[in-house]
Amino acid sequence: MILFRNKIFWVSLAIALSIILPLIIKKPYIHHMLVLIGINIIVVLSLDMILGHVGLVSLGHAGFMGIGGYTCALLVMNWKFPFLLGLFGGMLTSSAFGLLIGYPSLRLKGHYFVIITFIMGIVLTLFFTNLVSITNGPMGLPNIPSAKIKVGDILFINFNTKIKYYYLILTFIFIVIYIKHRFYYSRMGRGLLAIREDEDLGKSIGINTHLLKVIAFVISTAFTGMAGGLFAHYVKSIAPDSFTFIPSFYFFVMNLVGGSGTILGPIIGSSLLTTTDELSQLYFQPAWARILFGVFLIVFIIYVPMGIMGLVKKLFSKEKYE
Amino acid sequence: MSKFQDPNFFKVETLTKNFGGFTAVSELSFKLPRGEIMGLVGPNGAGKTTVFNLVTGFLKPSKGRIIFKDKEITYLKPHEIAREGLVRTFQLNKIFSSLSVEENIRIGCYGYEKGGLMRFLFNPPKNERDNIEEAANKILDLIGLKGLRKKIAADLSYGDHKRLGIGISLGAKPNLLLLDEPFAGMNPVETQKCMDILRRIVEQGITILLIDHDMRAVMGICGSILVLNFGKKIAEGRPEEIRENPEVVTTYLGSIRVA
Amino acid sequence: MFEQILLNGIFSSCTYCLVALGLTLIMGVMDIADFAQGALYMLSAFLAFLAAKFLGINFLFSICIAIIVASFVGIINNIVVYQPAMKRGASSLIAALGVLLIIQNLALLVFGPAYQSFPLSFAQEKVKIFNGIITVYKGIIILTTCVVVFAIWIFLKKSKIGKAIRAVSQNPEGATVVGIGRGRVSNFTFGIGTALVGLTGALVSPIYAFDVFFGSEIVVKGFAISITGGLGSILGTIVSALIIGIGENLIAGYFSTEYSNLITFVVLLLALFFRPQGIFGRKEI
Repeated sequence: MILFRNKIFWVSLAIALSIILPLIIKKPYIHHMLVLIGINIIVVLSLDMILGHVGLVSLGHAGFMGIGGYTCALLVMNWKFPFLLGLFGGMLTSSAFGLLIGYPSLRLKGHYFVIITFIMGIVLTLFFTNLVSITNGPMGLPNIPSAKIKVGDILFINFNTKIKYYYLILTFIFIVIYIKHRFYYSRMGRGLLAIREDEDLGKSIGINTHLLKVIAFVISTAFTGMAGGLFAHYVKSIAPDSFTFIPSFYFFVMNLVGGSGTILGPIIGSSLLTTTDELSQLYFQPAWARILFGVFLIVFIIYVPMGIMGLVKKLFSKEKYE
Repeated sequence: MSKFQDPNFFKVETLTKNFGGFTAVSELSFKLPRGEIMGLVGPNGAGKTTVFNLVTGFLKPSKGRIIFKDKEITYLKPHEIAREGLVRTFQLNKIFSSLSVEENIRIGCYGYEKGGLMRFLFNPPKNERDNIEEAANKILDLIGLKGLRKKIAADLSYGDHKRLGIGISLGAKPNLLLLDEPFAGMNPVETQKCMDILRRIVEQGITILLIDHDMRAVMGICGSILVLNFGKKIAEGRPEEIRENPEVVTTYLGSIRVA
Repeated sequence: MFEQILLNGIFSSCTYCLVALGLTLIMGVMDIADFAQGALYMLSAFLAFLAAKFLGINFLFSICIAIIVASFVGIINNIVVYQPAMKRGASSLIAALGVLLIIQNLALLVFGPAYQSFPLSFAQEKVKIFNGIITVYKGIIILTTCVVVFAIWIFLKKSKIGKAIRAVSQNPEGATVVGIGRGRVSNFTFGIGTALVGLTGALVSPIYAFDVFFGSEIVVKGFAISITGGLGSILGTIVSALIIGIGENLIAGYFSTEYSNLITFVVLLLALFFRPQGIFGRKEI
């Protein structure tokens, strides 16, 4: 049937489903799960901008989430910023930091980049823990107020229920998906493709490879920071523990398992693995979840590096020839 | 046919490159007028590709200057030099292997598109897109790969591979095209096809500087030849002069592919 | 006070140096960034502790057992994870992090989250050197480090296998061409590298209180040290380890203990930015 091959049909269906989903399944625990998945989707989509489009692994992205989260929370709590402005502030600080780290390290070979992001993640965790005057140290920031959007006297929404937060997150997910989509169809995206295929060839035809990589990194860290702000106002209390190497690692595994270089990949990976993590924490000790993620990582990186989406694509291209 | 004489179109002055104790290129000076095809020849290890790397910003010179279109480009970055109109190909021919032929050319035409925030967020208007399509089609025509446009680049034959490499660099709107061994590994038929393509490129007003070992092709297509050995210029002139030059003959004995 | 800090610094440098040496050998010869060594470091400490405390085995033997078992785990790790990864062009660095996570959390399930400490009954006398105090045991470790580093240096320079190792690390294909068996050299190097790390873990087990995540920090520092020292350069590793070990303690002593780690990592990060080939850089990653 032609209808089922039409992309617009499937996209519209997906959008419609995502909008009515929490209205069909009314359990609050599911809503909680959906919000967490949603936040992770934003982070992993941003991570894939680097992994899928620049071809580099970042193992410190949770650190950027932390910068965004702390900034947003502090702006709202201490300086009475409105939520959206605080969110934007979080994006600014995390992307500024992204620029700081990205500019020198994106000149270097890929192996260095992984190690640098890894160490940078550790540095950020130490930052959050030690700079007690700003971040309140290991205790973190409790009592973060709920997200509110106020437009004069016309509009006031207090995102204090899970289902409202779900729709807030969903809006931002649509925005990030659009940005990611532009990574495929813009001139910058084509430039990045050239860089992934053969960087020297790209340079020889006039592509400013370093600039493109840095821009991609800055965009990626900006949206990761935004996710941090969204996270902070959902869980209402953040601590350095939330932004260590472990979550950075998890995000990478989600990207890998889902399939990098795609839009569905991060969505699938986040959904699958966030659910797995939450459920395993419910029924088993947290250590088992970590072990599971470690196993997933090793199995996928060696045997299924293209991820689930990669497998699906392979299956479909085989079908074409039959 | 008059050739546009432009003394500062492309000039290299006392270009030198030292790697530790080894001098790859030594005090090389030459001029290339606009509209010519010049051949850079010499035995293996003579420093020819090093000259290309120095001129296109992939290596920094130890000494010397490079002038292009009246502007000093000695210390510019590779992509900046390319944007000035000096574009190169690579000895181990580089292409974007997992993409199709037309996608390769499309990326080559990177310079035809505008960048910036608006273009990132939204597609360019139809007339711009048509411009690029037209440019890409013209290039595909010129290199003779229009019929293979949907084929994945990795699946191309060797000769087509090389022509695609030239096509990609044409997308960058070169005024001066540096070709590193365009005839390497080609049989006489493919070599002839390639020579035709190069003539058509020159007809479009593009100057060519090429490196190759196929002396017959080089003599057949180049207006002037520059002979290098051990990083130094040992002869420069028209093909007839070079052929008679005793030093060149001595240098080359045993090094040319006589076919 | 300065002499005390210097002594502490030298001690830290020794432990870092041994670990960094092991890592740089493995990295140089096999191109594997073996972060899982952090877990082997921890395992070695736990095993030495268990053998000595619960099985009542002589401490020296405990160390030997710990090294052997840790090396064994390391070799299995190599066969099951790294070799398949290398064959398929996957990043061994990331796979190693996965292994680290798995081993640490398995250990967590087995040993629990509590910190273990395991004071030694001997060699605890304090010796005064200038104005600094150091236990005999720490002194022994410092001496052991010097001996081991020297031994490795001589070994690499003079022995047949040592030269083979250097050959493979500088030019793997060239080495194969002249007949050096790459597989044998790899396994051997991996063994030595792991043994170095295991040795260090077992040696320091009586000094620090350790939990299952003990080893994460030193392996990251060890890597940063081997990179900033210049991969493949023993002298560079030593110099870098001294700078970091002493520098860390200077900051902790004169400035602030909490920030010393932060500053160390920031300095390492800057070093990676501005001179990725290291102090005596020879090989790039």
